[in-house]
Amino acid sequence: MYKPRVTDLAAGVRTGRSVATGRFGFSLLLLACLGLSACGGGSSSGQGNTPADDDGQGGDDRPLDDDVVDTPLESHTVSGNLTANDALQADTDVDDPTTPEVDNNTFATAQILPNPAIVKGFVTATPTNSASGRFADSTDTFDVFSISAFSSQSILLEIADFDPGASDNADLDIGLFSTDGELLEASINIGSAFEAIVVPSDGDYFLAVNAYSGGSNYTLSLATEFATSAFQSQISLGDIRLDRLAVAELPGNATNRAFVSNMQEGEQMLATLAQESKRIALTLDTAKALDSLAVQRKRSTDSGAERVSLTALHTGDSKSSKTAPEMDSLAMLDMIKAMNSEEGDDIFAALQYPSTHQSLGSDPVPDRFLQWNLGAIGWTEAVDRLESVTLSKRPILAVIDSGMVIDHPDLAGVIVDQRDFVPAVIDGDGFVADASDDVRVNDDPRSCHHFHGTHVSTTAVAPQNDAGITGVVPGIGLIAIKVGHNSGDNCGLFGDIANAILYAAGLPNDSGSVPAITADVINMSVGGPTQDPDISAAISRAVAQGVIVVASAGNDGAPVVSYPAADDGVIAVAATDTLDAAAPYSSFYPRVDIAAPGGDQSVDVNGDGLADGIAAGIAVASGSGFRSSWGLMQGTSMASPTVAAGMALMKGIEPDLTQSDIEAMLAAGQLTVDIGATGFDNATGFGLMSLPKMIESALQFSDGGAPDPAPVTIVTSSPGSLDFGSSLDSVTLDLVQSGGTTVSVSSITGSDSLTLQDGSVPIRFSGPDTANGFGEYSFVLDRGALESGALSGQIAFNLSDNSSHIVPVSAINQVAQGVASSAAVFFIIERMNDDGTFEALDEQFFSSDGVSGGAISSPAIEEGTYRLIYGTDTDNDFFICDQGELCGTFPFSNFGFNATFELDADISGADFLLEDVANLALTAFDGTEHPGMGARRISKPAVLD
Amino acid sequence: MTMKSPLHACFLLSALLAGGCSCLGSAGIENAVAADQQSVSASETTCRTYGFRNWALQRDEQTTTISVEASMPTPAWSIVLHELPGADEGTIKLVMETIPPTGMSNSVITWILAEKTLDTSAMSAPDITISCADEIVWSSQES
Repeated sequence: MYKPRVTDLAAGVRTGRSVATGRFGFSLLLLACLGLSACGGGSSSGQGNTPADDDGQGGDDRPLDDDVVDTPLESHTVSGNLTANDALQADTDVDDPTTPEVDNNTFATAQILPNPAIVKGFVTATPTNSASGRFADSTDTFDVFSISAFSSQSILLEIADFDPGASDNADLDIGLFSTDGELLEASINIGSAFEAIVVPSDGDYFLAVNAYSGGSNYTLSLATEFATSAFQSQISLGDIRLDRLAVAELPGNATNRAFVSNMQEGEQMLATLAQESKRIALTLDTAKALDSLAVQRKRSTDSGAERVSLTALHTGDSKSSKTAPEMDSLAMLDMIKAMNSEEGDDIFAALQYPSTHQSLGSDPVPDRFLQWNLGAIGWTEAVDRLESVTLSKRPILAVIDSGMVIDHPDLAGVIVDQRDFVPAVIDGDGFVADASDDVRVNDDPRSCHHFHGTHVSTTAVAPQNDAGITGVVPGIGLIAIKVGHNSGDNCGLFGDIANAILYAAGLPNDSGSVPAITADVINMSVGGPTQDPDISAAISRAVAQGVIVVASAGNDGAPVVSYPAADDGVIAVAATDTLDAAAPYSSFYPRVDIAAPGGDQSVDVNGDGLADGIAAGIAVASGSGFRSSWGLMQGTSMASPTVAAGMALMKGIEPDLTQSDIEAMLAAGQLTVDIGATGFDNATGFGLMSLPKMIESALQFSDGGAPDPAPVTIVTSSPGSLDFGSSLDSVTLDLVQSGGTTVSVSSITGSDSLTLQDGSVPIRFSGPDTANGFGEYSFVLDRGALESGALSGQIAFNLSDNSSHIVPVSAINQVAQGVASSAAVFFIIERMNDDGTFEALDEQFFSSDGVSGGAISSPAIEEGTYRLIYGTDTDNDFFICDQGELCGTFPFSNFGFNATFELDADISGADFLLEDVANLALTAFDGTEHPGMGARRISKPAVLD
Repeated sequence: MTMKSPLHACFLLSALLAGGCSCLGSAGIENAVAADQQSVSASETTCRTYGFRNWALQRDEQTTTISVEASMPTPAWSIVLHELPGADEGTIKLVMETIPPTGMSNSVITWILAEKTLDTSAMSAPDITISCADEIVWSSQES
């Protein structure tokens, strides 16, 4: 690589003026040559230092005046290769007509990107009208890219020309599609320079940039994390809920119009309305595959304020068209954008409603739509809290139900015991240790119970095993007890529930055996109109043993009591829907203690295309048998195991908790979030279950009459995870402990692809010099030892109390290269004047296939001190190095244009490095007519055919 | 007492109580439960459902079979279609009765099939209506 001498600008020294400067200039040249080693040495510049006596008569025979006064400066060229970082890519169809056009407007012609990647592109929803621009008379609405991305990777779009003070900014959005073209996620901000998407899982995708309105350069980044939280999308398709768009109608506006109000940094905005609810019908562009979208307002009250939600309902007949649930959300936001445009202002509202719902985080990620029930109970917060909690025991939940699909993937590793309590007179085999669901009813391979027991059990305990769903408390122990049977044409619960309860509690029963590990909690998602004295008695005995008994409140949607829920000592559970309201079918009576998500499949409030039921494990007919699957159900059957799992977790934290302790906590509001009427109400009892509150209450429990519980050691680390991203090679981590006991670190082990092998590759660590192993650790990643791709695993700090503190680990190594993309790169030569200022030469040159790497050579340029600036002009505004464009300087300098080179000989092998203009600290060019840092006006050749 | 889901609750209550849909007001819940149960036992054709789907009508020369699935509180409910006597010539009136379980059942909302085959050999495409409580929920003229 050519390395020019860097000239001190302050010295203002230059060489090689034009021959037109006359004798004076030549004198300067003489002096300069005396001072600089570059002079002479084979140069043909005619830098003679002695008078020429050509005729031998003495004197200086050199001609005077203009004929030959100054030695003409020679001209030289600068040549080299354009290079760019592997991650840097150029959009292959931009407004600059000199860039070779390669269509990337469809899935079929998607441009392949590497990972990580930074794409500099251009899209426009309207003709640009730019001089000779490629899209002067047409549009470039979409740029589509093909990517291989990894779970939790960040995709960020920056609208380059965005001006916060302007009202006519271009509006660009991004969408993530499956390889089948199904929209999976989108970021559809209004009034923001940024759009952001988090990749949901490892896989191949199409990523589309869409010009909603206007046109602009853009920078599209596929990275591992955002540089700042400010880049987080304000409206992401994954977050938007049609029921959570708050609207406020303008005072005095009597028409059926929805108007939106400002949202302040994610704070919930409560819109106060005066009008009654009314139906708003909108007709949208049929290109959106919707004939019409009826928006129904639903009003609810809360402490005097009114929250208004919108539920999109199909009213057209276009369901046969592609009407993915996301299209409803997009259509809704289209409506908002259209109204904003009409009003001439960028205002909107995205109300997170209800407030009890939480977005679901970390990998593996429960689907926030499919498993809305987890968000409703504060699942993510609970999971985070549990990372610093050491359980006293593994919670054990007994589910007395119709039977289970024992080998269901979402029951893997959780079944600790099983028993059949259907009497032999019915099923012929008595109380055997087999809770398998019946799969044959008159040669029908499907269970008449529709695998109810499997659904109930997996709702509670399904492990986080990347299969199916995630349970309320994943992985707790399950005692599967079957009391259902298909008896001829009859399908019913013919089992001995009373003995089943005794068995689960470890009490003597008619089976003659008890589980090796008895239950902390018993769940019964069953009910009947009459009280069974045997069952009541068994419940009393189990409760006396310290077992918590939970049962479904019933689905009569009326004040109809159900047993065993109404039995003494039983926690009766009502059901809620996606709006945290009592489900329409949920029975209500004074015995109801608590509520939990049970679903409402008559609606799809969260707009995911699925009825709002509870997703969990089932089985479906397959040939003569069945196969494990997952499905939706609704009912207090689903709510009950949700509460039961939470209470089992409480028992795992504090095994001495009793039914009366739980009831006291309920009455004190320590386990729930109050919903519905303030305080206790028959529909939801003391409120909606809160898993985080359950955890805290168990931790804080203090039984005055019983021995103090064993102190809990809390181990935490900062950070909570080791994320090396795509560039970090080392991360430090502080390991700390608190609590009543002291533990020490016995060992540190790794897992998955990031294994620790004797502390060496691919992660080395050095720990604190402390006796107990707590303190600061340094982890160093050897990327050379890693394969390409997204890598994840975990490091376990194994402690002396036989527990482990787990720290997730992730990293991304560069994966396959994208297809080389070309872009026209224009060069501007600037000569340094005597006073240190720079002046652009008229001569400019360009490469039509830069970026991908190409040889480039300047025209012959007279000797002198120069600098080169080069870049793309994707928006064809005749300025290179705009925001959103590629740019570079020669020589390379981290300080912008502070470097020059001496052109006193041909320069070859130069490295013309292209970079994201945002990385260059370019100072404004004096006299620039164009806003932006370092932008340079250029001239372009005629459009090439 | 607060009705959390007025639409659905009213639909059910209208089937149970005389006087149309109304909240129970301030009556004690125990009294409400007792009143509800008395209404159920006194009614010959109690009909309680959360909705219907898959209405089907099949005719042949001799018979007409009507089927429908009704959403019920548990899988243990059963549904019977009764033919009401005294209908006008050329019409058939059916009333649906939903029969609650007497024992334990899973607390899951389930679709229960109701089906009835009628002897229509003497009729030519009779008008058939099906009522659930006081409401006509299906009519052959509109299907």
